[in-house]
Amino acid sequence: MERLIAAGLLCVAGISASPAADLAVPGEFDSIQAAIDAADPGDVVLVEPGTYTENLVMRTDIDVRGRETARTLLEPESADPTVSMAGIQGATLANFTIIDATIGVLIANSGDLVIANVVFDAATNAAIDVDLNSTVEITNNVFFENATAIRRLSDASRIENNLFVGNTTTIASPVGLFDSNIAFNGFFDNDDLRPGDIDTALGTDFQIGDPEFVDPAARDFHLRAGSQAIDAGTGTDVIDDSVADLGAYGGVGADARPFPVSGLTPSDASGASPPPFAIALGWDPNLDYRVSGGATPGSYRVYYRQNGDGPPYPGTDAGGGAQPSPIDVGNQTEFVLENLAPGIDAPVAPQLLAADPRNETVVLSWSDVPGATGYRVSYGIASIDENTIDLGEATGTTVTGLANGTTYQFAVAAARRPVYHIAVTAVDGTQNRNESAFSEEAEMAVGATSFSVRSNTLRSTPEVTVPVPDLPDKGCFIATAAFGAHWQPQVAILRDFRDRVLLRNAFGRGFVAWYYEQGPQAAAWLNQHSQLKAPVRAVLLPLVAAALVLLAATPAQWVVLGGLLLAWHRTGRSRRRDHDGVGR
Amino acid sequence: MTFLTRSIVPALAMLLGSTALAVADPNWSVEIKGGRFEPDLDEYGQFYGSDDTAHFAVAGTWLARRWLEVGAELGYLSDDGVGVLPVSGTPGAPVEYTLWPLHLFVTLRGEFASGQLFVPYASVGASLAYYEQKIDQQPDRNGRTDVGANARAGLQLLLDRVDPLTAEESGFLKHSYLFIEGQWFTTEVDDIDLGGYAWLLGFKLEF
Repeated sequence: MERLIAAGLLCVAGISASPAADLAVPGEFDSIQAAIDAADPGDVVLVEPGTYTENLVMRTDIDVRGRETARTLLEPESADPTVSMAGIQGATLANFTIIDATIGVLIANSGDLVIANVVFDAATNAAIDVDLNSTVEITNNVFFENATAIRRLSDASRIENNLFVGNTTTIASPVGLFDSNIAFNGFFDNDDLRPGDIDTALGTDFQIGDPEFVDPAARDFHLRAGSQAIDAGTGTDVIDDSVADLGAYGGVGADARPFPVSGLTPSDASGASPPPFAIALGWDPNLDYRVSGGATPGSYRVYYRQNGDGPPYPGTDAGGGAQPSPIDVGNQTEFVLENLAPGIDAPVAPQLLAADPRNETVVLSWSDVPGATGYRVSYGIASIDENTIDLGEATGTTVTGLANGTTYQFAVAAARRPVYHIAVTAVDGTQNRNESAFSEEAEMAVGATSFSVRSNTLRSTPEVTVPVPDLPDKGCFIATAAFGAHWQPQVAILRDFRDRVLLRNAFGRGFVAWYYEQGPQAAAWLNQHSQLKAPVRAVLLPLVAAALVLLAATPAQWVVLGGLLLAWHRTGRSRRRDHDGVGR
Repeated sequence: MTFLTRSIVPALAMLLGSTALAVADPNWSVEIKGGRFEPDLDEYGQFYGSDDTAHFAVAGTWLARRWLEVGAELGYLSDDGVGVLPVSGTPGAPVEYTLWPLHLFVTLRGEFASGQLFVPYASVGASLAYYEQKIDQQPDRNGRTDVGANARAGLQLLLDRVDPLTAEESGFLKHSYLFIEGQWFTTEVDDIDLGGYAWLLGFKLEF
């Protein structure tokens, strides 16, 4: 009978109370609020690193925790409080960085709340606003450059192990309760606590002075070696089992992962005639005291792999095979991956899709080959091996310097070069050897390039395109201005010379490009000074004649040239006669 | 072209002069219009993908009388197509063809009563155009056409009648119209006519 009663009780308990669970965001839920709304009492909403744009409404007996304080950012979607705790009991908000808030957390008619290991960065109204009827433990947080860090209407809320830096108002309390229930906090550079530019504090057991954050601009509020906030709190530290630090990375609920490494830079250190192949790495030091300082400093780990990005990093070839990924490199911030064995399979051949003829050029396009790091175009007249062009990842190019009217053949091959993908982590010096997330991944191509077989071959004959409609270019600016109209034969000869001689070589094309930039201004100036047109015509006439000769002039053009020379000769004789007459 | 330059343009100038003396306080208008333009070019659609293209224009007119106005209009149209390779006879390089037609015109309006809801109108005038052709891998071509002629006709809807409250509140703006218009113009360069037909929908403000 007793067994039956016990079994019945267990059965009822099993039906009525489900065990607490972690609700993952993202993954199980797209938003934090969706997870909160779906949670049962006792559940924990666990938020992975990322930036979440939401205004959260907390519920009774549901905790919301970020995975990493520094990389789990919460910003409001509207001007409402970023987090609202109204009429609830027994909830915890922990391990977030709250940015761009008007009010970070608004608490009303609630009790048994905890706000821990949160960074409040630059709230424009108040980081935490607590009404008269609420109680909350505000523990191990960082309040950085907020308008008001904490506004409270009673002293029922406990404030300890926090760091207050650069706030306009630090803790706004009712008259007579300024120091009540405030202990073990650090204060530095808060406007309301600097009478005579000397920092003061609130409560008891406080620290005054710069807590020496690693890099507030990068939102890294870990403590540097020598910070007076180290082991200055009350209670224990989950990270190193010592006395709790002040700030967001102390106490029993602190996020233990170091801040990720930044500034990872690879360079090819293979030397002039590889192999062996090598990649030199450098990165910025992580100045967290648990990584870089103390008697037992932390270290860095180098992860690598070939020809694929992202973790896992299963590289095995560094050090001639003796240094598989990851490599623990100690606390130095430089390392060389030596004796690498880069290799890669040849890619498949692309398909040459088009070889479109243009004026002295051919425009090629080909199919994309997955994994190709470049392409090699081969072309020639008699043989396709006459010329090669190595290109990047583009799937098309314009081959220039070709002769109009000549047929060329083209083909393309895909190229792949081994690429190393590298990331670095920081590892702290504690007994748990906590490791940061991966740094931003760096890439470096080393080793010999593998080519696919050639694509299909296409033939193309460069040719001048005639537009529709075939309109004349009246842009021979100076000559047009000097000779009066674009249809004058002298202008036509110069235009013909441009098209048939100048535009067929690089120097000529350069001259034409320069002339088209400068010519209009010169022509405008010439039009404004019409008395100079005759001298300009005199200068241009020999050029017209030379152009005519170079163009292997047609009989009609020779007639024009003869007429021009005759006119020039008569003009000269006439002027001489006039001059002689005046002289007599 | 010679007839136009020697006859129509001076006639326009004379008309402008006489009406300027007759009216002390003329009204002005601006028009903005858009629609389709069909060039009078054989095989245009073969090389530009369609026989017509988008056409936008702005115009300003001087209302010498309620039934007579003179004005100028600047249009813009641009189309992307391909040229032809003359040796092989195959499509060649991409070509971007742009035309800026410029029209001077005199308009007769059929406004017979104040507040007339629909106002028909017709215009004639002179035209020229600036053109540009950008050809891939070749120098650009640009230039100006010779003076040609234009004609247009359309129907204006008086919006004051549609929205009298707004019309009364606007002191500076005297009338506004929505109009449809058909245009034709011809202007040549080297015996190639760059003109054509346009069908436009526009908005006209008189002040």
